[in-house]
Amino acid sequence: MSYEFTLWVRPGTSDPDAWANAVYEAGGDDSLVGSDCGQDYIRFDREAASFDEAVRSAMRTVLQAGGQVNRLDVPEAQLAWAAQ
Amino acid sequence: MPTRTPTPTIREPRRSTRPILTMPATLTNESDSTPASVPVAAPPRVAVGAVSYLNSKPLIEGLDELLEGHATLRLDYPSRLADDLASGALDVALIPSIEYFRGQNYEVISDACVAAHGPVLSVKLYSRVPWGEVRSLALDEGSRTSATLARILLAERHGVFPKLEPLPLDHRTQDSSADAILLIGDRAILPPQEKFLGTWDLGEEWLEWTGLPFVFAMWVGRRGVRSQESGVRMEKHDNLVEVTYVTSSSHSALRTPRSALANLLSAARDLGVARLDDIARREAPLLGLSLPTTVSYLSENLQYHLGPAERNGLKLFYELAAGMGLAPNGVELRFRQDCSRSPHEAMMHPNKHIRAAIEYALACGWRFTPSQGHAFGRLWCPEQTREDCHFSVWSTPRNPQGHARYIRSQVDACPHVHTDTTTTEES
Repeated sequence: MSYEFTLWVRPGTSDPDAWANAVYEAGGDDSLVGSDCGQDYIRFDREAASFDEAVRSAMRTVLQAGGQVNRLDVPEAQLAWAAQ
Repeated sequence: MPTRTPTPTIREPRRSTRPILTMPATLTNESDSTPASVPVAAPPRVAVGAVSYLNSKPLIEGLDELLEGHATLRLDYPSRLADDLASGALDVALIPSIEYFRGQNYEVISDACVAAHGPVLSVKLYSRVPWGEVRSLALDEGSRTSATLARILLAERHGVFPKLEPLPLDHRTQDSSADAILLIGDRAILPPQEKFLGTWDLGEEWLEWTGLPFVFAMWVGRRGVRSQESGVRMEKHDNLVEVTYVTSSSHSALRTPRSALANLLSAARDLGVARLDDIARREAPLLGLSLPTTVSYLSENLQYHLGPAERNGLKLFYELAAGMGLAPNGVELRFRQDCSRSPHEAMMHPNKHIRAAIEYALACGWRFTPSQGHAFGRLWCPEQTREDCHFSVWSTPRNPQGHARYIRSQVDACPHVHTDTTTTEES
């Protein structure tokens, strides 16, 4: 099962390309790494056995890349999974 | 924003739009599905005009096909194009450089141009007397840009301001008694029929004197006038997706058709440059030129990319022309920010879904910069401040189609309206 959500993050480096590469190497090839109005995010589409496991796995990716997670955003369509 | 808000952002007053279709959201593929999949009424097309001289063939090669559905293309004389651009009959035109300065409220909208970094071959000044003694100058009909350039070079290099006289197209140089004669086009490429004391290739003289390239023609549009710009927008309200045909009165929220047009003009240039040999084979016999000369002219004498050096050359040309009273004072030389990047590199992504998504972003006024490592490149919104939006595009994402879908939806979610992304060169 694939779960979509967004982690708002503090990157481990101020170089956006270096940060993106670090996320990719930490297993984030299922993500979109970007900045929205100056706020950094990583939008995931992660395969996992459960929503909870997908988010935990994504957070590990961010930490492994050297960043920090500030917030989790869940799209409406995933709210049912998140509530379980 | 991907998930931060459950309600759509309306970026302009709704009263200025005309809804033409509503459909249940469940009928669309997804909440951020693209307008291209929805049947809608065709918007009015952008009117594009261009000269069809040999030197501009590489810019318009295949342009008709590329513009199909986006714009109409008309080929005409430079003076008529300039007049129609000024009057609003054309939205965008490939016009001689001097016409930009004589028009009002213009901007350069594409990085495609006709320029020379040295000998241009098709613009020559012949003299029967020493350059410093030129008192009369016969001007080939049809090029005010080259005529201005010739007058600038004579004035700046030799301090002469000759009296002008026309040289009609059907007249030979022997029919004129002027001290110097300016020839353009194939008449200039072919060897002269009489012997002259001095010969200037104006592209070469300009480069030697200024160290800069000379821009002969460029794609120009009227700034802030978008009467022909239109588009289709989708908004999700509750359980309905409203498809809106946006007209000139509501252009502020458009996905910059002019940016899309700029990309198409660059793509046409890239296509033309790739087909220079074919163009030469087709055009050489029509003009009575040899094939090697035509190939050399198109591929070595001319350049087709408007970069920083060309901008500087254009700026200097304007300053000199204005200083001599040959162009109005106070004209701003404006370039669209996104006209300095070719979409060519961006379109090399190996996955077709991601290529299409990148093309969508570029058409919406986003810029692409290549990256190293796992990222193929980065897409930047038009904001260009610390508060902008940008993201990486992977070379090999785990799920290419999903990655492409994310790219499109991030572009759609960007709040920065980008209908007026221009830069101004101080003149």
